[in-house]
Amino acid sequence: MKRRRVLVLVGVPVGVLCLMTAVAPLAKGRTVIRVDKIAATSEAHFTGAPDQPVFILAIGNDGRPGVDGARGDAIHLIGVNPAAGKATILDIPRDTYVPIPGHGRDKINAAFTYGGPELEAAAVSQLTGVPINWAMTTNFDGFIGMVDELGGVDVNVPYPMNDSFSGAVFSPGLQHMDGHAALAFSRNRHLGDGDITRSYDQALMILAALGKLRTDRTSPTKMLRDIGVLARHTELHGVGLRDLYHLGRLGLSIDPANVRNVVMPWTLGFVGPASVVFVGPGADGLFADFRDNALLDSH
Amino acid sequence: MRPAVAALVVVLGLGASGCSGSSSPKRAVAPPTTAAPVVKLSVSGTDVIWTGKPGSFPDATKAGVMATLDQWLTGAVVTPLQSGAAGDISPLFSPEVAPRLAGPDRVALVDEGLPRATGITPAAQTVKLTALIDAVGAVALVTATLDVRLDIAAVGGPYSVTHLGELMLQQDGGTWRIAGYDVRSVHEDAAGVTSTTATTTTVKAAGK
Repeated sequence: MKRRRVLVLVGVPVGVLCLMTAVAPLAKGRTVIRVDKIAATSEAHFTGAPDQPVFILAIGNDGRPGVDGARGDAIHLIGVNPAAGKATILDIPRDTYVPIPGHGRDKINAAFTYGGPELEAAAVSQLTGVPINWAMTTNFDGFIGMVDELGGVDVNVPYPMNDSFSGAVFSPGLQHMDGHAALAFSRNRHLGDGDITRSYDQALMILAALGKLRTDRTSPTKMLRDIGVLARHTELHGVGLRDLYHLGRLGLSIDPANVRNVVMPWTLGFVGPASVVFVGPGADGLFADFRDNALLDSH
Repeated sequence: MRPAVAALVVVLGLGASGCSGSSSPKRAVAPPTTAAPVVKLSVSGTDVIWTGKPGSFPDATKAGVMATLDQWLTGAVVTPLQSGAAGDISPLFSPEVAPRLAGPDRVALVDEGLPRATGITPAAQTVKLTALIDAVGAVALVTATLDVRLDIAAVGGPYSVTHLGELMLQQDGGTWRIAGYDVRSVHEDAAGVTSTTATTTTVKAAGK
C-alpha cells in the first residue's frame, strides 16, 4: 500500500478576461483610436460538460517521515458550478464514522490507510451520493513545498491561535503564511469543536490559495506553471494534466466570495472508547442539495 | 485618358477593399497586389516546466506546434487581410474550443472585415513556447506567447494589426491543436475612426 499524507489540496486555477479600449489622444491634434477588440480567455468550462457541476476531492494526508499508515485527515469535496460561477467546499471531519467499502464501519480517514485516495473517494462518494472521478492528495512535505512555491498564501485567520502541538500561533486577521505556517494553521485542532473547526479552517486555506492564484495574472503559461507546482507536490487520481488545465481555468474563474465553505452536519459521540463524529441530522438533505448542482440552494 | 484611368483604379480599389463607399479618395491609389509577403512565425525562446521526471522539448514537437501556429497565422490573419474572409480554420482548434469560433471570441482570433491589404509588412512575428512535461517525460501541453505585429498597406490608408497573448495547444490525433487562449487583438489606424462594431459586452470600442 502506498504511504501518503495529504493535508490540503490547494484549489487550482482561473480564467480571466481583460479587455481594454484605449483612446489615445496624440500631440498636434491627431487622435488615434486604438481598439482592443477583445481580450478573452477561453474555455473556463470543463470539457464536454461546461454546464454540469464538477466535483473533485481534495485530501490532505498526514504522511511524514517516521509515521506509518498515512490517514486522509483533511477531506474536502469541492463542487463547482460553471454556469453559476459559484462553488461549494463541503468539509468532512476526519473522524466521521461511516461504512468504508470492503472494511465495515470506521472513521473515514482510515479509508486512506486501507486503500489510498481511491478508497477514501469511494467512502466519501458513498456518504454524500456525489460521484467522484477526480481526487488529489498531498502529504506534509508536499503541502509545504506547494505553498512555498506559490510564494506563500494570505489567510484571514478567524480567531487567535496559540497551539504548541501544531505550532499554530496566529493573531486574528490577514496573515501571510509560508508553507510551514500554513501547515501549522491547517493542523491546529485545539480549538472549539476540535476537528470540526479545523476542517473548516482547512477550507479557508483552500480559499486563500485560490485568492493567491487569482491575484497573479492567470495566463495559460502561468496556468502551466501552477499545474507544475501542483503536480510536483500532489498525487493526482483520475486527473490528467489536460484535465488540470481546464479545471484550473474553471477554478480560477470562481471568485472566492462565491464559494461557500460548509462543514457537513455532525454530532459527536463514541464508538467504544474512540470519539467519533456521526453524520448529523439534516445531512442527507444537504448532500442532496449539494450533489444536484454543486451548490447549496436551500441550505 | 489619364483621368479615366485614375477613376477606374479608384473604383477597382474600392471594390477590392470591400469598403461600402465611405469617403472618396482624393488621389489615385495603386491597385491592390495579389502577392503578399509571407508571414511566418519564428521561435523567440522556449521553456520547460516539469511535473515529475525531467524531460525535453523535442524539436519534432516544436515543429508540430509551429505548424499549427503558422496555419493559424495564415488562415486567420493573413488570408482574411488579403481576401476579406478566412477559410475554415476550425480544424486548428480542439473540438471543445472550435465552436467558440462562431461566437464573440472570433474577433480576437480572426482578422475579418478589415480593409483589404495591398501589402503586409511584419514588424514582429515571434512566439515563445513553453512546454509542460508530464510524469513520464512527454510534452503534455504547450503554450505559445504571441508577438505578432503587422503593418498593413491598404487603399484607404495604412493600419496595423497586432496579436498579443497566449495560445494553449494540446495534441489530438497526432496534431497539435489550439485548446485555449488568452489573446488580445489590436487594430490601429489613424485619425477619424470613431468606433468599431462589437457583439458582446466583452468588446468595447470608443472614439470621437
